[in-house]
Amino acid sequence: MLSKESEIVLRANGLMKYYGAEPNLVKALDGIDLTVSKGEFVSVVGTSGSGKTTLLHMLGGLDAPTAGSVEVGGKELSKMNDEALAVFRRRNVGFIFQNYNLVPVLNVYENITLPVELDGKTPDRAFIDEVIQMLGLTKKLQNLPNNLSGGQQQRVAIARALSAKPAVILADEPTGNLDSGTSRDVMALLKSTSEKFNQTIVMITHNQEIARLADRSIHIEDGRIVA
Amino acid sequence: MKQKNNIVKKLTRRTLVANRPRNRTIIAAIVLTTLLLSSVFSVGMSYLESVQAQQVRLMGTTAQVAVTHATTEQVEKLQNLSYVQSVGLQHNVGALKITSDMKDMTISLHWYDQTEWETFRKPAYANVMGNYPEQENEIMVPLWILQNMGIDNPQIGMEMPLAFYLGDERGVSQTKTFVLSGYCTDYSHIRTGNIGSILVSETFAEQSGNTVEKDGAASVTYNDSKNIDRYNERLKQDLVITEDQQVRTVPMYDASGKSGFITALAFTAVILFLMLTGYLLIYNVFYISVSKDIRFYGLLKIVGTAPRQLRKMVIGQALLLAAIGIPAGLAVGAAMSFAAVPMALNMANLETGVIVSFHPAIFIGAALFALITTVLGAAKSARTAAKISPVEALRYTGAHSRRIRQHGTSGGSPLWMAWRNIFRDRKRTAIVLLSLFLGITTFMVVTTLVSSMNTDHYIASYVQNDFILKNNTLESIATAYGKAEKQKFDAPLLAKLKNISGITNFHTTSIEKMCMTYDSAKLSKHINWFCKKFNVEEELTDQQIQDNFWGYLIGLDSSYIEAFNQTSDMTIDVDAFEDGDIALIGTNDPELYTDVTEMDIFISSAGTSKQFALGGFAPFGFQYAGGGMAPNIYVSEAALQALVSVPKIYKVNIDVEDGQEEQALEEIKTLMDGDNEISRTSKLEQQEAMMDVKLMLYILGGGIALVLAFIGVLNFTNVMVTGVMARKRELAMLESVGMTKRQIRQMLIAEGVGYGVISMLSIGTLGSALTYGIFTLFRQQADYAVFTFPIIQMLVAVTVVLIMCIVTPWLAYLFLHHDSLVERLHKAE
Repeated sequence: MLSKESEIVLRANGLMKYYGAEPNLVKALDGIDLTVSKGEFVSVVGTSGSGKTTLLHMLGGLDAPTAGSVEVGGKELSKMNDEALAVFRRRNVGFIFQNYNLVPVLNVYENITLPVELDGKTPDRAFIDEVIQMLGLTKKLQNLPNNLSGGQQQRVAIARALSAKPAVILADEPTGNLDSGTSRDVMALLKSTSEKFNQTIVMITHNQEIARLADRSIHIEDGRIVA
Repeated sequence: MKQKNNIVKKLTRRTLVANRPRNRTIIAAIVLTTLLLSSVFSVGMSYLESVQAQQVRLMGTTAQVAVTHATTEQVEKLQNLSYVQSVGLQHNVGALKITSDMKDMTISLHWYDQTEWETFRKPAYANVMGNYPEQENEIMVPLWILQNMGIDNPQIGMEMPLAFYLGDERGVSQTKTFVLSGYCTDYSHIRTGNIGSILVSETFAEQSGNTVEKDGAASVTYNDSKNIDRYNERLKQDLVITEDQQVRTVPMYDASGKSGFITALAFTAVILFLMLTGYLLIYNVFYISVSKDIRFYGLLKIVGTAPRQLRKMVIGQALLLAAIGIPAGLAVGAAMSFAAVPMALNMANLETGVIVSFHPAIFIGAALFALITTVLGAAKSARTAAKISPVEALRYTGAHSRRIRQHGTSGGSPLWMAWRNIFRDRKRTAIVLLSLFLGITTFMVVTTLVSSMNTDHYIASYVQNDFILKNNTLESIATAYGKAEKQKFDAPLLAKLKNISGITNFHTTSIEKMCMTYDSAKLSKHINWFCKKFNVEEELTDQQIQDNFWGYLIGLDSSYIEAFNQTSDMTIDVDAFEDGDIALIGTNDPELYTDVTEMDIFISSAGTSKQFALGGFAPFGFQYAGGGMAPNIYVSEAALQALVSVPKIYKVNIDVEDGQEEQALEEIKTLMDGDNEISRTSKLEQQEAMMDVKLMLYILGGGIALVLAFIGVLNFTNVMVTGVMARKRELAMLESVGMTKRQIRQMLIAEGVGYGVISMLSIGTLGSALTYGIFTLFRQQADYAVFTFPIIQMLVAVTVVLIMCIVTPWLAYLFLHHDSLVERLHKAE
């Protein structure tokens, strides 16, 4: 636990995101300060429309904040252009979505190695094989995503998120589309792999049971951290 | 770096495979664009090559310059000059004696050395069979000469007894049995009249005692074909050319093409137009495909695909499709050029045959422009894909409207919704409408132009008589080359012509070169007009003008004068004209001659002169257009005969009874057969030629118009089908809130009809205006054209477009219906 506090991989300062203009101004994020240390597993909870997803998009550099800053691995995201952000994402951020978002035209293995390949690097075969084995995907490598069950697809998404050994994994309701049994399996795998590879995870959920699996839980309402 | 390319390539290929219907449309667009481009290039190149070949063939040589009477030393020097490429030698050997069983012609016996034959002469002939004579008794003869000798089926090795004069002697002829070693098609007699050469061997040539120095020339080509005049000057100095030697440039190298610019401009416009229509379709299909796949591209961006990589992916897809479409288009284009090129070039009136070009430039050009079209078509979509915001893409649900507000309260009815749907994406709508508009308007323009080419009007405005025969040796072009003027219409021929069955009218026009006395007080207005018309810029002294003040005295039938009197306000005294008291000036501007009362004419060939009073005016260029600085003067046949005992007949105009034209044509053909010095124009043949041209224009223009219309239709179908597919969820949602399937179908069909009505309206107004505008331009070139609106073709086009507008959305919706409502509501993509 000591090492986690010594190295901060994710830092958000005074993060704000406003949509529209008065009188219809929507404050999706209204001043969020957050730090996450290496290896930490943080869950973000809140009601629908509280700003969870917006926060996740800001942390992953998918969207630009109205004000405030995000630093990932010591790099300030707002200073990067579109091209640089894409490169930064594939090296430093792994995403896991509720609806998996796998690339339909690539098979399981290709989906998993996609971020590494996009970066022009040769995948670390031993590492990838280990991940695949842990997630129980060994027999499915040649399948296309639409031939897989929801739980299998989400395991592929987890493997993809891990494949580039990113600084942080951002997960948006990873079990939202899964039944409770599968949800438990997937969460167990996510937790065990991240512990094994000392991965940092920020995960959105509105499932209290799943939120409790995290090292720390943050509660957001109306764009602010309330607990 | 290699790895990176691999995954982008892999994604490109896989995305391509996942989009088959879209690919088919794009490939079709690329194939059609390539096909159209290669046809245009092919016609253009073939035209250039055919014209070039025609020039070479008419000249009979590819040499640029001839040095006459070149001495052996000069030839040696020539061969060593750095700027000279090739030197060929030739000399006259003798002349063929024309016997009574041969047709009238002037044939020399000629010897060529190997360079002269291989490099300069052979390329100017077509269908060379056999070899250049080697044995003493061998000869090679052009086919037209063989035919004039009565040999229609020449065989190599056949014996030919001929009478000839050797060398310069013209008194006593010799006879000898030659062996035909070869024959060929020679076109140069089309230009020179009935003048040609029989080729003989070197050993035979030596017997004549003639040499290059005595009666021959050295033919030369320069390394640099652009500055022939400059090299001619150098050559004259380097060879020390004597007084009686000439350095003559072959006429085709004299001319510089000016009309080329307009042709090139028209060519460019056509290419750009074709590229535009192809672009519209490719652009639209890519645009739709990328907006449909916006989630996919957004997703790739989330996991770290850089914008540049996304751009590469879209352009890469375009390139892969081009790799299929372009070769296919080129192949079809090449196959079609066999049919299309001769058809198109028939219009260009090439006497020496059409060459179907397969020059690499055609394929490179067509491929390049098709590639540019494809890449440009995909470029915008590639940028869109690169710029996709990942967050937007995650939220994307399909079709969207950019509008923020929409006025009105009647939004519930299917018709009103259909109307709004049409303009939901204005850019896409604009492109579909433009694409349909271009296709159908082109179709209209082509059909209008072709049906406007009224054959009767054409014949009436260009050909006054059933038959017109002309003596080509009197044409100004022929006389400019120093050719002898001949009396082609001699008394026996005239008698035969007058005997043609069913003749109703027979007129002759004679001409004679004359000089006129120049009086600056009376004729300066004429000189000002002349200098302006023929771009004479230098100031001329009265003496200079007098030296060039020659023209033609043209002898007319008085029936022509009666015709003038009927059509113009001015009355010419027919009796005075017939008696030779008055003469007419050929002009369209009588104002220039208000000071002229009489003209003093002198005919040098006969040594006679006469003063005529000015009795009126004939249209400028009437019956004969050539001449010098003096105006041409029209007098009666009798008056001309009083000055020259036998005037040369230039033109014979013949009319025959209705229904007798075909018979008369055959008779005239028999009388004139093979004589290139008399040319024939006949209404009948003109009419047939005109019908051929019309048919050709229909096929070619109609073909292009159909392809363009097809591209427009393809674009529309594609937009309609993908539009319905993309709105799958929206339509399911409408159904879930209570819109019946019938209402949805009504709405979709109304959308299609909306497109149809808008295009019809724009074609009916703007398209018709455009058609009329282009017709007016065409009319300036062809004043026989009569505006004819192609109603039937138009109705067909309207019906086809409307049917398509109704059927396409209906079919698209049918396809959708396989899934249940709940499935459709849930489907994310």
